[in-house]
Amino acid sequence: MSSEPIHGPARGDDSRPDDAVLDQVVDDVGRGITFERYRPERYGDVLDMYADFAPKHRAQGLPPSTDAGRTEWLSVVLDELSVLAVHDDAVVGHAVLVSDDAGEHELGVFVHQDHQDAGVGTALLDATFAHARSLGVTDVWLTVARSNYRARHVYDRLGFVEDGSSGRSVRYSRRL
Amino acid sequence: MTESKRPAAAGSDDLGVASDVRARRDRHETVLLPVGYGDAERVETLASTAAEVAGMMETTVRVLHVFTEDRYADVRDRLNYHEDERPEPDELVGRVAPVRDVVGRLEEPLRAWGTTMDVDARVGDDVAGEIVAAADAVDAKRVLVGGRRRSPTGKVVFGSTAQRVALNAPCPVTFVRDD
Repeated sequence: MSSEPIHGPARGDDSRPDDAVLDQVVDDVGRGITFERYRPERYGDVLDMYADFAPKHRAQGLPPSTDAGRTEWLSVVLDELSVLAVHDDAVVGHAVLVSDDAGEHELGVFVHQDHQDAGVGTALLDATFAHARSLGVTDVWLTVARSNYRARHVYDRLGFVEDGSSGRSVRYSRRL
Repeated sequence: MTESKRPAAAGSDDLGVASDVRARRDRHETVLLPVGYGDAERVETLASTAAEVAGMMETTVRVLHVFTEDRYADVRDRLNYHEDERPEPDELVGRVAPVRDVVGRLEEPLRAWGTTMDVDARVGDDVAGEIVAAADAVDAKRVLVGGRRRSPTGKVVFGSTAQRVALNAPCPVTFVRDD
């Protein structure tokens, strides 16, 4: 791994793959994780992660449980702002920000079960928010199951504020 | 010549409701079927459920669309109205795809049940409040609402509009779930 600091991509130059790299970290168990902007070259790797996603880690209907469902869903979310966590050239995490009709962005974050509990999700969100900020995203929100205390704790620590609830979900938001 | 650029108003009459399933106003009790952009994927279930409920209750179906102010302005602008004009929301509702879909899919089951429909529209940012007001205004016997929504990232969430309609409607509310 290069010891050079990684700088953000040069605007307007998408030709070199390295330009996709946003940040690199070592996770809590010593694995090197690279955060990249999504590029179509990674589509197959993204599909692979979701095809192997443990059903018990699905939440609020995501990721979809069928091949067709995943293809359709990805055609929507990959079209917007996506950041990938990559380890050993495999996609192990994916964060998406999808614009709503109020000028804000809904956050979704998915970490493969083999890379959970190692700080990957939090670092992925840090990289995603920095990237999103540079693209002019200002307001981010999400909903999470009321009973998902682990995830809610993560969003608390990341500066999200609980600002609503609906049925079994609570809503969090923050400004970037 | 603003006039000449304006297309014919796409009012509920232009939705192509066949005459034998078109409600004559004030002649029937009504079940209210609010339809929004979030309902696009469940129009079939909404239509068949509404026809069944209306058939058994011997009422007509009133399809309702509530425009938020922003959507109303979008649709009005697309139809080349001047920004100072306030066309009746009824004149714009034919431009709302899920409303067109629901109306199209209602025809056959309504005919089978021997009942009818009409189409209404309102403007307001408090969508649940407008639905409740419409139910009040028509003394609806039942409101049908889609009970789930998909968020922009595709999460299945319980719609807050449905929840607020259920809590505030002047009549029983039927949830139409789509999975």
